[in-house]
Amino acid sequence: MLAAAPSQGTCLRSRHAGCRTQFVAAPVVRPCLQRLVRRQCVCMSTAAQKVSDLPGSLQKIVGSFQMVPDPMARYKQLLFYAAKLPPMAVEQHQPENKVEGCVSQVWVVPELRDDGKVYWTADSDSQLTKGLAALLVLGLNGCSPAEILSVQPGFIEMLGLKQSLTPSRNNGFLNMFLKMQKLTLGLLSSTNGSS
Amino acid sequence: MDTIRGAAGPPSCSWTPPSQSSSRSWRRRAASVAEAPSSSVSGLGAAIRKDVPILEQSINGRPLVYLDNAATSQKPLAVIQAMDDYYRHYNSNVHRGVHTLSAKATTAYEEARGKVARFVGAASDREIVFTRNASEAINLVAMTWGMDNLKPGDEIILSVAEHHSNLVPWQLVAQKTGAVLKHVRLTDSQELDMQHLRELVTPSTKLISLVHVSNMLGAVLDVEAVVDAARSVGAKVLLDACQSVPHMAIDVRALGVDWIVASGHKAMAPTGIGFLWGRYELLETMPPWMGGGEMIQDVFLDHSTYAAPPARFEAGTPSIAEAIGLGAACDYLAGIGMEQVHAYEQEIGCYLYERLAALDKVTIYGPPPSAKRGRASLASFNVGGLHATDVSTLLDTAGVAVRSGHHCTQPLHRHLGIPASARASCYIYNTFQEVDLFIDALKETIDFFGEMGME
Repeated sequence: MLAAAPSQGTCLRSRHAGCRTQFVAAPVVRPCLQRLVRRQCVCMSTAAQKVSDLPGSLQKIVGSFQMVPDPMARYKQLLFYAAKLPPMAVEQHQPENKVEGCVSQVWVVPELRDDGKVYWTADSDSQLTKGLAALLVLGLNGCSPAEILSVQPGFIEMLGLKQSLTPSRNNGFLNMFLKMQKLTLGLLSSTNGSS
Repeated sequence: MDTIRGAAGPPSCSWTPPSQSSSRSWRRRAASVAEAPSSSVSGLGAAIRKDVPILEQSINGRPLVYLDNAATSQKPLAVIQAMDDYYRHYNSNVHRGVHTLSAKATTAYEEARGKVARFVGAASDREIVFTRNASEAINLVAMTWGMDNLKPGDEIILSVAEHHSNLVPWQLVAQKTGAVLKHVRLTDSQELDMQHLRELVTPSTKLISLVHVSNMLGAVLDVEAVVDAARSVGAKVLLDACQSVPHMAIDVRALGVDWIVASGHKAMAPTGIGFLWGRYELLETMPPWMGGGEMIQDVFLDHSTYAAPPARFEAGTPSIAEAIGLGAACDYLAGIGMEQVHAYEQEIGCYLYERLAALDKVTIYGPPPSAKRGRASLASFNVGGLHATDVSTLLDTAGVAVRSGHHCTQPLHRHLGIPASARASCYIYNTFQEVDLFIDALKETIDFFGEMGME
């Protein structure tokens, strides 16, 4: 069963904001004719994802941030992550890797390796944004595509970084996360298409 | 990153008097003016603060230092109360009603129009068209006068420093009419280059639309030079006065331009209200834009006749409370006196500039305060090695509110070769102590990143 990248918006059924609508593929004889048939509303407020449901690498990050008491210390933590991020080659600063909606420039590049897991590189010209990108890289490195696609953006609030979940043009962190999910989906469809 | 700096030489704070004269007759006529605070210019900030309730609050445990006034200004109690009063006591639809409440609302609404007219020195209140904001006002001119008058090959002169609202509408019009866009460059001191303007002007130039005071550079336009250049070829002049109307005395007749636009929310008025001033004879030639109620004279099924300006351009129920709020803001500012406002802002703007300039690794954009026409009380800057967003995020933890990004001037940032900038912008309720707090917080921020190994 393939889940398409979740889309944000207001659920028409429950009117909850920020609900995710998941398209679920119907099982068919020929996989290349997957049809996206059933639309499930996964209401944020009634089915909020528990920390324990997150991939282990992301759980660790959320946990360590939740322990940090004040904003300045959290920013220090972000800068620490930024410094640890492996550098990205300038050639990878391409439009298809760029996250839209950030005031600073952010690029993320996924790599699907033979172990079936996704590995990330990221870069930004703003240190704090690079820290946020690093956080996502560390949290989602070595996860399977299904794991990455199952993550709901609610964990962003748990970090205490004052990043909102409103899918607006200016919401860099959410956009980064959604871009990573979209890129993951792209990896999946290109591998499915070639098999 | 080799960045461009303002004119050579140390900045020196010499206050230059405002270049536009203002009409004083409104002072006598301004109704229900708030008590004018102490006249000592340097004490103005502290005195005004008492009237602006939002300023007394803490952010992250530190007192709010609001330095994002170029984005939007805070409102005095008099403006908030005027709107509250309207909704509590006489809210009613304007213009066609005969009953008492409607008559009161209409009077207040039209009085607000008169206040705005006097505030900018218009010949008559019929020359003020209420819009949602300055952006809408520019679009109004573009879609009416622009679409009606521009032909293929006609030229519109803008500049590299314009706000997107004074670029995009003209791009849309140029695409539809075949008109050509040209852009004035900057001088070495980062003001608009009037010599370049004169080179750009040709007999095909139909419109020159420029920013009066730049929201990023702080540069003040040489309006006289622009008007001279325009008149030499019979071109019209539109002035984007968003950063000038709130901060200095404006006299549209002395300026000699054809239209000005401004937004209320940058001048202590609510959001959702702005205006276009235009010479009446010119407004009369402009066809309608939005059609509907209020802007008509007689309506038949297949055609209508239209009202005279300004009603012609105000379709539907207007933002009545907001207009009344704008009128109250004009009263409030007029009560202080725009010369006082401008004098105070030159002082605090100069102080802001000098304190910033004294910091290592900080680059400030635009001309120095000693420039011929001065500069606005704002400073867009970058700290070497840091991204503007990082700087403003850390400043927020210290309660200091500045803006970072491109400030709706992407072409200008591209022209200067920078990805973004941070901007601190003052208004009459900011104090010199607040500037000190901002500089202290900025130093802390620079040290913080320095400790983390970012140079």
